[in-house]
Amino acid sequence: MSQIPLDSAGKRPRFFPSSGTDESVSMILELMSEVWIVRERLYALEQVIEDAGIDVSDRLEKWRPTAEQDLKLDKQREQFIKSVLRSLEANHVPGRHLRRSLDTAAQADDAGEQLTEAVQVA
Amino acid sequence: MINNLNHELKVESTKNERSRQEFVAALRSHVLGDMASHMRDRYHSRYGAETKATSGTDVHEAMQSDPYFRYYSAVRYNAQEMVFRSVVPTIDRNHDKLNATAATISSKTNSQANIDPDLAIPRSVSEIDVHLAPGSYHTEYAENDVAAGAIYDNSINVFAFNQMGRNMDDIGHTISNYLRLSYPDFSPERILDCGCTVGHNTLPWKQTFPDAEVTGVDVSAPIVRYGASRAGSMGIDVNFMQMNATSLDFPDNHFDVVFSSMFLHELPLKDIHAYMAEAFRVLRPGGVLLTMELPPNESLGPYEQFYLDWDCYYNNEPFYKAFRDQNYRELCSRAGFDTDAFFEFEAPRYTYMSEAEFIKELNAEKRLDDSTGTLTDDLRWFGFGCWKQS
Repeated sequence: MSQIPLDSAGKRPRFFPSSGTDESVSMILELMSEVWIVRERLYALEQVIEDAGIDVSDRLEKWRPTAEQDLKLDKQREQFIKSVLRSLEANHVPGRHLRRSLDTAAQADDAGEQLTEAVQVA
Repeated sequence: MINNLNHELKVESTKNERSRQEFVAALRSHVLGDMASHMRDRYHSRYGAETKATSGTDVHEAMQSDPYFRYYSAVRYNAQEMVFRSVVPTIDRNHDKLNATAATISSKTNSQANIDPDLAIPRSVSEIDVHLAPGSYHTEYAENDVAAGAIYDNSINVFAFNQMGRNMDDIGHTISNYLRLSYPDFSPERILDCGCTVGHNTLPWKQTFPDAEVTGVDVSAPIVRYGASRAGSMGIDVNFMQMNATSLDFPDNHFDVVFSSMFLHELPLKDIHAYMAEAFRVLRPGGVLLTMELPPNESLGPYEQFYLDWDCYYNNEPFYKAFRDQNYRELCSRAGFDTDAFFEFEAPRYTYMSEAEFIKELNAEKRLDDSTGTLTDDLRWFGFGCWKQS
């Protein structure tokens, strides 16, 4: 069974004239989602532990990872960085995008041909 | 908190996946709510008076270099990508189990989709990833695969941020109940939903008209497989068939209702004409074509035209504007319908209010504006239709 792709095929539009801004927006939004996930998980975790009658803040300050835990965190951190910086990865599937939008009914009628053109250009 | 899927094909997200889905839904709500409203105010105060825009294209031109439009578009585009990124990993991890569950439910409930292995997938689906869905609607990753259906069902749940009904089925409930309440003497026996995807808006027809035979058709095999299994799991008896709505394998004069929702705007114009002609052919005299869609550009002001056409330019829905530039009455007329029997309507969301409130709002004065067809709290659905005269 092949893996389901995460990204849609084709070139992403650019909304900003200055180079890099579009990528920065993607990074910020991905970062926001990652930060939110952590905040929600941390809150839930602290509630679970407090419910078990343990003083979380004191224990957290004293906690140190084992070698195995350390390795796991290393890997997760690497994945985290890849995910936040995904717009800089060269992993978008080439091809399969329309080179221009179709403004008129006549153009839409010819869309089949334009699609062919787009595929050939890629 | 966003909905859960209420059937056995629901895949279990991890806590982190769930948080990501909640985040993306909230981000979409923010960009389509707060940011869209700031952008509209900004246009009217900064550009509205001086551009003398007469069309959505004029507004688009005026707004293209506006920094706020750029951020709005960048956030909205990214949010659309993130919808899929938030659900695909869950489905990928549960893929084998999902396909097995779907097959079991289908055989247990006798709800198998009718698959046509020779059907050619139209290029409007196969050549582009429609609305940025990875793999578009139709890709199969395994034998008897349902993953594309699961991607659709799960992604629309995040996409809709609770604005499209408990089972993403409000459109189906609203339009079928609009028909039931507006034409109490009309009692359909056979109902067809074209471009039905996973059947989220097909099943409500069976719930509204329990004695009718309801059929959904779509070009995608994994989508109708999933749809049939989903219907089986929900205990609703609907037929699903892999079929192209531009070339229907049904006899003439067969159906009382031919329905579609959010379908025409994904089709090239020649396919829209072919579909309308087929709808006319398979409808019995006295039957009705009912189309839920986005409102036509000719009924909207320049800014509202521009706002809705965003998807055409930036969401891989290239036929969207060309469809909305049509006169819907003429589309019906060209297909053979007598346009004296043409009607259009707006309806509030049936599943968000009591039936009495729904009827009251239906009878209120028609007011197309920027909350028609957009995901805001006072959302109303737009539709048009035509009776096939006896």
